Amino acid sequence: MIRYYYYHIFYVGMMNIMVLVPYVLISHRFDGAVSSFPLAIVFGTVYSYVTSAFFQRFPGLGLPEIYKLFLPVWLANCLNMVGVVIWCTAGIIVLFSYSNTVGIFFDPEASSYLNLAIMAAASLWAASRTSRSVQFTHEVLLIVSTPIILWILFKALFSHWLDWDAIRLVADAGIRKPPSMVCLFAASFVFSGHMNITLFNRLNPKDLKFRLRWTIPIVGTFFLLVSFFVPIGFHGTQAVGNYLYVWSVTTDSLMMKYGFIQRVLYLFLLLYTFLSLVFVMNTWHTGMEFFKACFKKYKPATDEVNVPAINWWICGVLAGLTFVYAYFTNDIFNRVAAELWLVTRFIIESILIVLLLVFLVMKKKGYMKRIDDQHERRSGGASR
Amino acid sequence: MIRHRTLLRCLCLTLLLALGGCQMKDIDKRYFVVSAGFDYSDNPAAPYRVTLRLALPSSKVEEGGAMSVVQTADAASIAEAVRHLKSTVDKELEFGHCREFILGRKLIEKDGIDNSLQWLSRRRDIQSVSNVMVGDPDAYSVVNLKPKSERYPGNSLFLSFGNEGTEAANTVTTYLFDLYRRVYETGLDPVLPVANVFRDAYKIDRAAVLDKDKTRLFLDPDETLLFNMTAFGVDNTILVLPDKPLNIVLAATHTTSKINLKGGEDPVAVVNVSIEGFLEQSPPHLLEKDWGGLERKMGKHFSEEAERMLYKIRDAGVDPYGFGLHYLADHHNAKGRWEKWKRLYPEIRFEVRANVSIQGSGLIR
Repeated sequence: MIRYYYYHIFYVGMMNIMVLVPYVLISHRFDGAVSSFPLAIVFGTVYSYVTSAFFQRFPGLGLPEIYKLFLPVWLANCLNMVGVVIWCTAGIIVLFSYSNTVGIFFDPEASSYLNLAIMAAASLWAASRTSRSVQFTHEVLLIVSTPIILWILFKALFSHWLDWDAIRLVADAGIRKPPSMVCLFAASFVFSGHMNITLFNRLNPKDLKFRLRWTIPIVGTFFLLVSFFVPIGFHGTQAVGNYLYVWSVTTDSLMMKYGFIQRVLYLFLLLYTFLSLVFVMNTWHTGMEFFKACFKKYKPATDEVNVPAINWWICGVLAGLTFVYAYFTNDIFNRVAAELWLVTRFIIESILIVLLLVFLVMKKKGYMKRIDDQHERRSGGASR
Repeated sequence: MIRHRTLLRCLCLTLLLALGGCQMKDIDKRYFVVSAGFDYSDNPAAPYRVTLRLALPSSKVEEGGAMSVVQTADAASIAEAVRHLKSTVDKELEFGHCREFILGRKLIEKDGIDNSLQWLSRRRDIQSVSNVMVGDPDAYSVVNLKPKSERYPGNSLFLSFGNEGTEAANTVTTYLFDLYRRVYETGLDPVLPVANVFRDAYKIDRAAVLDKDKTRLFLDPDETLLFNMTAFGVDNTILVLPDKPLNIVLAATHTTSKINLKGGEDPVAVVNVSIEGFLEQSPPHLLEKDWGGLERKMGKHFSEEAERMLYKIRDAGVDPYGFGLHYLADHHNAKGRWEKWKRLYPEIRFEVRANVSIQGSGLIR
């Protein structure tokens, strides 16, 4: 079942476009975006290795259960709540920026709340399913959209309108500057697909080996470089800074002459509808499960036949919060919020990595609080 | 339980009724703009004249069956003129299918392209792959022409560009995103095709080279051809070697070009062009006598012509090739390199290295 792990790595790599990562990087293209890439690659790779190595030692356990093994309940709950906030805000920001993009390019006359309502309804339904369903949905949507997304990326990469002089200029100017922190935080997002394991490890069978981990830096670096340099190649070193939805404009600069529709943009946005839906589904689902884990009575379950009502309530609240956010925010504030989120995400991820290492040491020294035999049974049932 | 579910389903179905109100305008309530022209009217209160060609949808698709109307409005800005135009038509204007934007020559010479470009790049329904061109003497005459060969309104003009329809060797293709990039880029200047009306057709065989805002130089058809080959490596062109009694003509099927800068303090801009093709017109048995010699002669002639054109562009103070950008990319971020380049460029020497390879004599009988 190792493929599910790599689905997450892959889709987060492609998803960075919707979290405004290229925008953040491009706005710093002359001061330290490029030089932060090697750092981001190192950090991303190391973090992926640490998390996968850690969770491999705790098969069938999600992060909330592991917290309970090592920490007092109040601290575990606090940490869970931090997770809830960081996961759910990601979904909300993406949902808002996506519905905005669609509003701009698909149907400018319709109210932006309408797009938001449709997407929020879909996300609400998808995220409130069981973990297993979420994982399967993720697989299906990703298999449908990835080949075409890669086709668009390669079409852009091999287009003769791509100006390699501009790319060389930016790469050369950027690599000589000291790395910028914000860019490091933004760029490392591309590698952060491994974080989804914190919840979906519950579904992993006991004997799971994390093979092929060397592909993570390759995949991440590819998506990072493409999403940063291709827009620069298309719009030049200066004009590229004038766009907010820089990738939408870049795909609009491609043409499918003999395609059914000539504008690649529409195909691209359709595919990113899928990806955004997957992203919001995953983030809200993870947030929801983390929230549920704060209650005493809660038992982690991954394959319930009937979805508990609490799932609907939590996701409903998240959908409502998205509307509140959409009401009070605008494009410029959303940009700031996305940047802030990227920074916070990295910091929290780093803290988590340290925590996981501490847990590993504690396990070795035998400080584990209680062996939960109940989880053993459950995870045995879950592994197929 | 079952009644409960049925009720829920019915409730969901009623949601479908709301779909009609998605603030969508039906296709029969829209006017499709197929080409747009911006001109400079001599009225200082309303300097912008916008001309739109609106397609009349018809059920038949046939040659010469394209119907369209042309509307014009003057206003203080392009956006206002488009708004004014809306009051003269009965349907909503839709720019999603408009891929031709014609800027009047006078507009560019008097006002520059900046204001037009601002409007074009802000409209979300305008494609980044729209063709932008200069209308000579004005945009109105180009927009107003209704060629007889059109299958549907407006297709004649966009088929002229790129390699979609005709592969004309001296038509420069500039897309909107490329124009926008060139306007902002340091060391790369915009170039636009020049369209004018010739009998019942468009003639797009010249190019205008601009500095960041206004036209600096118009290239004649021969120079445009050379420019197309050296700057864009456009395929399917011709190469002429003057000869008596008949010129020798090479049909170049494949062209690649690459720019390079040699030398540090006194740089030479080298343009490497390799041209492949076959002879379309030549005296009999010329090729057999001296194949290599003919290739060299053609290459030398091409280099001389291209260098003359390059010096002309340089002396106009513009850089549509991107030599400046190439220089900046080559010179590792040294301080003041852009100022240095601006000093160097007016004195720079060009060297066109043409590598012509003749694939065959073109004889089939």
